[in-house]
Amino acid sequence: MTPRKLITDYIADVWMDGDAEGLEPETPIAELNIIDSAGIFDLVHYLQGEFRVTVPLQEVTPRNFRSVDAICALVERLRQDEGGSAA
Amino acid sequence: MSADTPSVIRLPRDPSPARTASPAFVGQGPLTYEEFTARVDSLTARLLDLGVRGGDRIAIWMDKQPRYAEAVVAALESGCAYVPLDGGQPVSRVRTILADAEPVVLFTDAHHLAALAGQGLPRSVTAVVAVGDGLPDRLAGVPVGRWEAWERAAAGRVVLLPSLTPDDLAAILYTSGSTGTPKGVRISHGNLANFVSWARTELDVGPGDVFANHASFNFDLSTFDLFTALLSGAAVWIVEDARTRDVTALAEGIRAHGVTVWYSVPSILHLLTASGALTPEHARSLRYVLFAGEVFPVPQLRALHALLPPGTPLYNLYGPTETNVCTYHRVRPEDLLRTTPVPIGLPITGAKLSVVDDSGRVVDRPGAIGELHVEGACVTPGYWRRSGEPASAAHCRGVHPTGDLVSYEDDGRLVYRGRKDRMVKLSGYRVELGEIEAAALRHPDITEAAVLLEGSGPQARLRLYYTLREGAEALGLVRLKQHCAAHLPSYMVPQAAVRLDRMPRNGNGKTDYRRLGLDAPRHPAAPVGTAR
Repeated sequence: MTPRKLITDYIADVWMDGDAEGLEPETPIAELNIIDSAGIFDLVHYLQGEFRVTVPLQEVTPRNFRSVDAICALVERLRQDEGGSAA
Repeated sequence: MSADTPSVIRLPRDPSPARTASPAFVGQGPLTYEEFTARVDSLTARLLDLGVRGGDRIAIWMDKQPRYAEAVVAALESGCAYVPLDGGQPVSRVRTILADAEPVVLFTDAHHLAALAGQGLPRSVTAVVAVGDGLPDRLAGVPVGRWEAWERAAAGRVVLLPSLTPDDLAAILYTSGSTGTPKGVRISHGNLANFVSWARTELDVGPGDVFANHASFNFDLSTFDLFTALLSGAAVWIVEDARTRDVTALAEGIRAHGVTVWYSVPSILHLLTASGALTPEHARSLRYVLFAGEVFPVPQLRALHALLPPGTPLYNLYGPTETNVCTYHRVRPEDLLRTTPVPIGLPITGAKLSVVDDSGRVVDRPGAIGELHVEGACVTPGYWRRSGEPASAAHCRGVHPTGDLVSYEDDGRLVYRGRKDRMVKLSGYRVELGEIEAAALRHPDITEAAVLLEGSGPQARLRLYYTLREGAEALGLVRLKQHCAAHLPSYMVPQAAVRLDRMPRNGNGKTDYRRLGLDAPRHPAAPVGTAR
């Protein structure tokens, strides 16, 4: 399963009662109140466990979490920084 | 005061043949004014024989029918207050109310009496009068009179009616209390007379008009149907309990009885139009359509307007039971183009309104939101036997803080902005759940909407419950969110949504928020997703 699919499903399960229909890679997460600011930290915890990356606090920004694509890009960048790759 | 501006509610005594032969009730058990007055006089005579005194309570628990109205008017004529109970109410709630109201007489019918029989009657009751077959002679030691025989025994008697003053208690209407125990709102003759006088000044109604009584008699809307009609010499069509949500029967009744004045909650009018039951042919006799009790979404109002004879006045009436109606707004053509609900308007005669902010200051700047406080002749004298409550204390000062949030428009008309007690705070933001509902209703496919804040603290989530118009395509959560986000700041966009087949409603037809999320039937095709 791609990181994009994993992240989309996780967000759908935890914050959208499983209803991911219409949740596109570019859907604006904050504007649609899908994940509030407190929820972002739950997501960070998930990303660190699922993709074995460390998400530094300074990376937890609205810009990095504005959409599924943005989150995927963040994960990819962190994995590369840490010497791995997002399969 | 002239006959047109009564200070108390009294059945007019117009002996002219034109009046006596004209219909007082149409539909089931039709009665002329002569017949109705004779029945009321007989019941009044018998009540006075029992020794009832001013302020005594007369309870009525039966199915809706002209007999119900007889008992209401006879109670008033004998100087007593009527305590109307909805025929569909559970017996446990009725017992609670009877124990609180302590009526001296109970008017009922055979099957409601049978429901009460198991645990006897409240000690205050000294006589029961009932219609129907198979009635016992006594119940728990209290004589049970047969309605017709009771009336016959006093037929033709000349009754010396007790005098009434505007301050006399006319009714106790029970509403649900925030603590879960029904709360009795005391209504005076002056309250009712003030409202009827306003209605008769605002609306050109009289003999020849037919009022539909859709609301239950324990709902304050019914005071308009009954007293405005009877004091104007118009006829009343009492909609039977079993038909109040039967749109085909309602539309057919409007046509068959030539209803000219309709007053109900908007949801019933919406049901009538959205179902296709009400056609221009059914509606052609309507001269006035009034609604109250909840917000009427403009698209739904527009659909209704399109079915009515051109120029039919539509009125939005507003007021909690504690003030009956205190504001009104006659819908203007431009109101049908609004994207926000139509105003609740201007004060009725005798009502003084103020908008008060959180710090108790009166605000009159257009757009500034505050709680509506009402003073004047429409404000009822408080709650029955709850003098210790803060709301009763405010009433003693003649002010009713409605708990409703309003603001002024530029032209001085008030608009309803939601319930004060449905205001929530999310991440420090002040959020009106009504505003989210209004935003959801701007979606062309959403017919009803209700929002709850579920959970608390960081787990709190806004959940939208909604219904879709028939044939509409299912809306995914993201699409709903996109729609709401177009009208609301992001923190007010619901986090979750549940599509319902129908919105749960209480006995008065309003959204029953307490049942949302509990037993509300969900649509089988409610959100489907890609859950892992």
